[in-house]
Amino acid sequence: MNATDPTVIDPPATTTPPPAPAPTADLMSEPTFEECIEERNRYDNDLTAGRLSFAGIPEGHHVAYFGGRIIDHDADYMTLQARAAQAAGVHWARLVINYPWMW
Amino acid sequence: MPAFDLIVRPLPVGAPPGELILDPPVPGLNRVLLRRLVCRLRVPPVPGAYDAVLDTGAPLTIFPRDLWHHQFKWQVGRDYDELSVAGIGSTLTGQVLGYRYSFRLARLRVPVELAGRDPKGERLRLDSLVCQLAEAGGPPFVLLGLWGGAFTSRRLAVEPLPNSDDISARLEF
Repeated sequence: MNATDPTVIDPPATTTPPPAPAPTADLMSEPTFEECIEERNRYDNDLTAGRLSFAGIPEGHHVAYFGGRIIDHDADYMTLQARAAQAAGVHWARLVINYPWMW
Repeated sequence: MPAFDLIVRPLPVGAPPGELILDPPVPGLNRVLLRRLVCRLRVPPVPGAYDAVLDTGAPLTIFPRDLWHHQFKWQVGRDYDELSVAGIGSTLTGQVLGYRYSFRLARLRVPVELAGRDPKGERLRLDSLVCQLAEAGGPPFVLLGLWGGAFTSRRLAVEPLPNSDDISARLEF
């Protein structure tokens, strides 16, 4: 086979295949401990940077955080966890449930 | 020596959070920082991570009822042994950080695992932790107290951040 062989197909301009799309995390799946730590790190980074506001949240309520924002709050931990997970469409363990009133 | 970095969490008071600006300042001091040291906790095989506040002022580790009873579903004889105190029994009253509550004294049969900020960092496994299982009205967060397994044979290192009055902290074990 040589360069004039009509059966040779010219290689494409780039031989690097396009990157495969990043796998989409199934947010309803049970997260690993590492994933949970990363979400809690985001919460702490947002808290430290002053990006989270607890204004309007009654003192004594737990807050539910996911994806960069506080999505719900409630005085009852388990009620909040179940309601927030359903509303966000995620496995409950992916939420950060925190009690911020430790003063 | 294995170690992990702790989360130095500002309290959500002041602006910026965890910062009390002095007015007027005093020589060499213009703010007071309010911080707590936090690590991540899990109880395999229960999914999720939970925050635990390191508090050497608390005599024992405390689990709130929401976690040990509702979330972890710990049962006496399977997940913990209930400890009875001579002359008192097995239900005691505790007080910490303004919370006054009843609790059962327990030694866990299940391991508890602690981690720091790095998801792939070192882990500290606590076996046979002696702790308080608080009833309703207790602190609504996990406190890692002085005795019973969380701090014994560990070193808590708190250092100033370079060019700052803020701090970093790590737990060595």
